[in-house]
Amino acid sequence: MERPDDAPERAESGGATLTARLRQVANWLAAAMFAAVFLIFNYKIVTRYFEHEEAVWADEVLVILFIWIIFWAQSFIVRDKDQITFDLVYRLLPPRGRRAAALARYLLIGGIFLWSLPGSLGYIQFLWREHTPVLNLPLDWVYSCFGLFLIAVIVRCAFGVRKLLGAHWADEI
Amino acid sequence: MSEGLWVLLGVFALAAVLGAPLGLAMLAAGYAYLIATHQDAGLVVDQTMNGLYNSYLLIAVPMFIFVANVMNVSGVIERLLRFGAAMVGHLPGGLAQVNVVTNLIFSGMSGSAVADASGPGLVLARMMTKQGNYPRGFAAATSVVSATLGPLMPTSIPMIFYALIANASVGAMFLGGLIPAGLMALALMTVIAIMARRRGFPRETRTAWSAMPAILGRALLPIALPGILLGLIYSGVTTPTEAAAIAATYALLLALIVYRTLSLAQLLTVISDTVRATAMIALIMSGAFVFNYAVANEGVPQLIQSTLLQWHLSPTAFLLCVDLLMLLLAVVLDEVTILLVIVPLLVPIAQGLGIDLVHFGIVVVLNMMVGLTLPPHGLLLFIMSGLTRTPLAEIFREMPPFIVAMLAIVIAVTLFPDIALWLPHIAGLAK
Repeated sequence: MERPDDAPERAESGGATLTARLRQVANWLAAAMFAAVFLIFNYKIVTRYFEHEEAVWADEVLVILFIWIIFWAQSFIVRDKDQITFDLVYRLLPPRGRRAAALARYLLIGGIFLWSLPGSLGYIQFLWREHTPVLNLPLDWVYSCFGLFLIAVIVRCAFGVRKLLGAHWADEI
Repeated sequence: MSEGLWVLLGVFALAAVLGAPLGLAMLAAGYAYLIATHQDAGLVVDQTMNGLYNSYLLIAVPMFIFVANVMNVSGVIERLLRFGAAMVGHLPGGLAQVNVVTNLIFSGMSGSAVADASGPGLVLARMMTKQGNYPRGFAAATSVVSATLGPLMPTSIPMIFYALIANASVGAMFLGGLIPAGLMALALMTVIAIMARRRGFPRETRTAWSAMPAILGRALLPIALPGILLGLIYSGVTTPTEAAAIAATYALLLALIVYRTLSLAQLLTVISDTVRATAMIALIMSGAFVFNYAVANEGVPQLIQSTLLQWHLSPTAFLLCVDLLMLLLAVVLDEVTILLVIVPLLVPIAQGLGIDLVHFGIVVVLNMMVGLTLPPHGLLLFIMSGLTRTPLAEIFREMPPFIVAMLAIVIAVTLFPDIALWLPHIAGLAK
């Protein structure tokens, strides 16, 4: 007989596979962007020395890909536990202490980011009137990866809080 | 201190202590600062994105991480190890000596102490303990100290950051690190030889001269990489960033076509790891751009400068203070944070005192690397302890003689700028 409290757990594991799949797709996209950086660099050097042509667009595309890789990966691929942290204190805490610290951390970071989100998004939107120097791309599109990153951090913090308040909080510390 | 500055430092410290990623902690502190000082939140976007957009040199960082990752999975370590064993295996404490030499060579490719510790450092620590001739604490400690050599050799990621901050020549920085790295390797090897004699660690059998050409031949292509890189930068054929991309192409061709040791599946993993590591470092960079804006806005650099000027420090006294500060900071903060947040405050002072910025950079990088090995919180100690499953206390116990030797090199490079500046000077890259 199925116990009623199995249902949320099943839903959670279904959610987990979906997250894993999405993460996989995000991973592929990031890898493709990295491969593009690599190829463009080589193209640029080859054309300069063998065809005596400077691919002026290349530097701009390289920088744009670089910042997109960073914030794309930060939004969808890198987990908090992979990040560089100062864990001298956190590591010494007992499980319940870590739970409280993690909760406070999510609320602090998520709260500040949420508070600042409208101002940040407004600034990015405002950049529609500016364009990149070579390819003339609108800067709001180029910088939109930062907005994506801010939203991802806020969502992650919210999910973190939910998990810490639930039965499986031990997985989150 | 103004209210805004308290908010900035308070939120950063609180978030960091609660275990938040340092980059996120800095961004959150930056936002909190803007809220407290009634400034527009858009400034965070402005500082971060324009900062990254205008730092073309930074694209060299993922390229170097990629090189290290490719080399790590494609069996290059084994080739270098045999080469190292043929060179120094017959010295007292043979395998420990090989550890230092292999790291010195490998570091020319990875440029990151953490990559060195988890690459050749781990392989050698395991080899040393497998034979039962070395205590595991000593094996891990040798790998920890050997890993400090990496960022002193060309392709050094910390040196790229420094060159960016101080507007110093990347080429001069790379050349300037060579002699200090050599001296550091010699110092570590001397300590190992003395300890080996005292504690009866074995030597390996001497490699026959007739076998040398084959061993060198197997290791030649990877060993050539730093030389190619330096050549490209000095000849002006490519910019340092492009040279990094060529290094990445070279490593990839070596692994895919020449050695045929890298499968496509592995390549994908390598790219994934590279992307992740780049994003981690770049998050701290982003945070640092915002943090530095707030610190500059509050006039902190001027405050530090005027305080230090009141002390009437001589350039040497200032550098010794920097030694102490860097070593202390490296024990609690990671290298990227120190380089991007603290070092920019010190560069103008060094410049004002007439200190050569290449010399200053080498001193800073050297200190940070030594700091990574200092108990109780040096990052490399934790990495090696985790990777080799050796209790920290056993590694700590073996560290004192190494630390004394490393500090001697730090002080020597601090007091005698020519150790760092001689090669850049010959190449016409320093005054």
